[in-house]
Amino acid sequence: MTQPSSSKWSLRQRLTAMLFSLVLSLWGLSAAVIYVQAENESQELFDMAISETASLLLFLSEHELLEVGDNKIAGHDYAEQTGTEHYLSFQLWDTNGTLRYRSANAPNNPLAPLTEEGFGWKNNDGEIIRTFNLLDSNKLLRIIVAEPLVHRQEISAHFFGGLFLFSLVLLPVGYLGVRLIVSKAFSPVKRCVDEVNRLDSRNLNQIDLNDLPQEIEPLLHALNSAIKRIQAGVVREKRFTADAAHELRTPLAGVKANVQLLQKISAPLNTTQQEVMEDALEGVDRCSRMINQLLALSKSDSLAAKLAPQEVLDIRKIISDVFILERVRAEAKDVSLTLSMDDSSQQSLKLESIVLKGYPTAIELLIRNLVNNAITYHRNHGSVIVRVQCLLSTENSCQGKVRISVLDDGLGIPENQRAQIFNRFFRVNPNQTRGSGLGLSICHEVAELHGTKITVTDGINGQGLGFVLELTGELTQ
Amino acid sequence: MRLLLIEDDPLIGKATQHFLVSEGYAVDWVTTGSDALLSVRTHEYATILLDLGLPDMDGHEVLGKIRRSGITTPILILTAREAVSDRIYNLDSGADDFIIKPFDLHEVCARIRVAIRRAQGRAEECLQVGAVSLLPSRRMALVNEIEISLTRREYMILYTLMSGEGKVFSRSQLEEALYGWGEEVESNSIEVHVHNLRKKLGKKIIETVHGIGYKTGSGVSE
Repeated sequence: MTQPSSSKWSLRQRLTAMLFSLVLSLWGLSAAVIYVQAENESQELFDMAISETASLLLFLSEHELLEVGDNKIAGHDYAEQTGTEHYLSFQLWDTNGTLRYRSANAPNNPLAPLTEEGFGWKNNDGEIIRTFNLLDSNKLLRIIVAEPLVHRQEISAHFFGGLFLFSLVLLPVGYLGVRLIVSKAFSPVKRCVDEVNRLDSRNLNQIDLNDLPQEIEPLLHALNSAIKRIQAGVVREKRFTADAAHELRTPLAGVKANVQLLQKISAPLNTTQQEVMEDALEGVDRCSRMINQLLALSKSDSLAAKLAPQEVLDIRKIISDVFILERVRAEAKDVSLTLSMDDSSQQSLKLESIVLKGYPTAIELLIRNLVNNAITYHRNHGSVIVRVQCLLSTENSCQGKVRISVLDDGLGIPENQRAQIFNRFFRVNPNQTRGSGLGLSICHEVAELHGTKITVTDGINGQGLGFVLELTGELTQ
Repeated sequence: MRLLLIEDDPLIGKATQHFLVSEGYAVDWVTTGSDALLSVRTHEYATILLDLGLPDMDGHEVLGKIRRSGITTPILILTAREAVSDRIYNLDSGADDFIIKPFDLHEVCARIRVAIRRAQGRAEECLQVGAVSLLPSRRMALVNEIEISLTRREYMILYTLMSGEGKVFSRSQLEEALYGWGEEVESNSIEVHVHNLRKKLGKKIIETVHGIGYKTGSGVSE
């Protein structure tokens, strides 16, 4: 029925966001743990590699020194032989502190303090290196193997890059998965919304509570009991109207019956007596008209009226019915009743091609009240015209408007009083007591019930009074 | 013609009863559904006027019970409920007509006449026997187009006999049609009224069926 406005938040979106951030943070955390773990493991692995290398080199160097003698080793650069660049560098020192041998990429000064054994870090002009310092078993030779940290970092970066790429692929998949799961979890809610949306005046049923999650069941329970209360209210209102009608009409019937009896049994009556009795009967009739109007008003006001199904309106028939009902009164005052169907105002638009929906009895009551007023407050000899015009809607191209005008050439109402005439119990002339003062108020209510308004205009040829009602309907095509 | 008025409101009931009596009908007025059911079993009515809001039972229930017991007397509903659904329901449950309160008693009388006429299967309002014609709507008897003044009892005897179309009515049947409860019946009153009617309308208008009662005659004046 109503679209959720943008200021409202969506439970579904919120849940999706929360679940996704949870997934994201769990994933991030585990990635961090794995990264740190892998980093530690790889440190150890690298350390092991350089210590192995150191042991091997030391072993080989000892042999070489024993076999070949001192001189051959110093200054000999094996890197120059192989020609490839190596990330590892090493130095071979003897106990006297003489550099006996080094790799091409190793400096001449010690890579690590010659007094310490084992692993160490060294900052070599901004380049951080990992060193391993090993003394042979005879404590004659010392080997230092060094590996720049950059090498390790490169490998870590490689690993991290892989992880990042993987997550780039994985995260959208994760997001879609979370959305899918949330959608699935929310499908009963959507079903409920659909079911509640289907509720309207014709179909005020309880919502099926089967197969619903327990979270929204209480809400629907509450909704169902609200529906039940509305249904009970409608029934009560209908009964009240019927009861009120009964309670008000019964004593009136009693008064009327008694006056008529008196009239009959005391005949012949003189003129004064006859007049008094006629007045009494007129009072009863006015009172009963007032009750009818009040009941009509309460009906059009009521919830029950709004919940009743709308029907297709046959404007032509409604107006001709009103004319049949009002003909006698009109003839008595010599007022002509005319229906003017103004189809030609817009090429092909006919009354039949606009489907109007509403409450036929209410619309009939409205038009009848207007016609009745026009006749009642007319001086004798004149005319009342009901004009029906069909117009294309200016707002919506597939809608049409039916403009019904009830116009007379009677006494009219001064401009400054026109605003008040729809008020309940308002009378143009407070001294005249004919009407109930409710007729136009009922018309106003009926128009509102149909989502429109009645406007007051001048009557026929600028004389008298006119009322205009516009009803909107769909075009058939 | 005897009518049954079922109405619990004394203001309406009393006035309606008096009005109908002054029209010449014998009217039994009851205020409860159970009295109404008792009355329809013991008397034969021309029409029943039924108010729907009764203290002891719903008017629809009374209607249903009367119809289920096989009584086809026309029933006119007096109701303050004007909803179309109520009217349809009433007509479908066996009512012949309905009048919305506050009603006009002249209209009630007209509707009673229509109900009686329909129950007798006549389409014409006017009753005719020989030179005598009876216009129930104006409570008027004419002989050769000349109005004859009748008392309400004389009128009612004539109306009853003429609408019976030759059917024989016993003296007690005529008394039933003429006198409501609590009205004193003199022993020879029917004979007196018949005598007066013959004097006013001619001897042949009412025939005596010896040992049984009366019926309409040829109506030809001597």
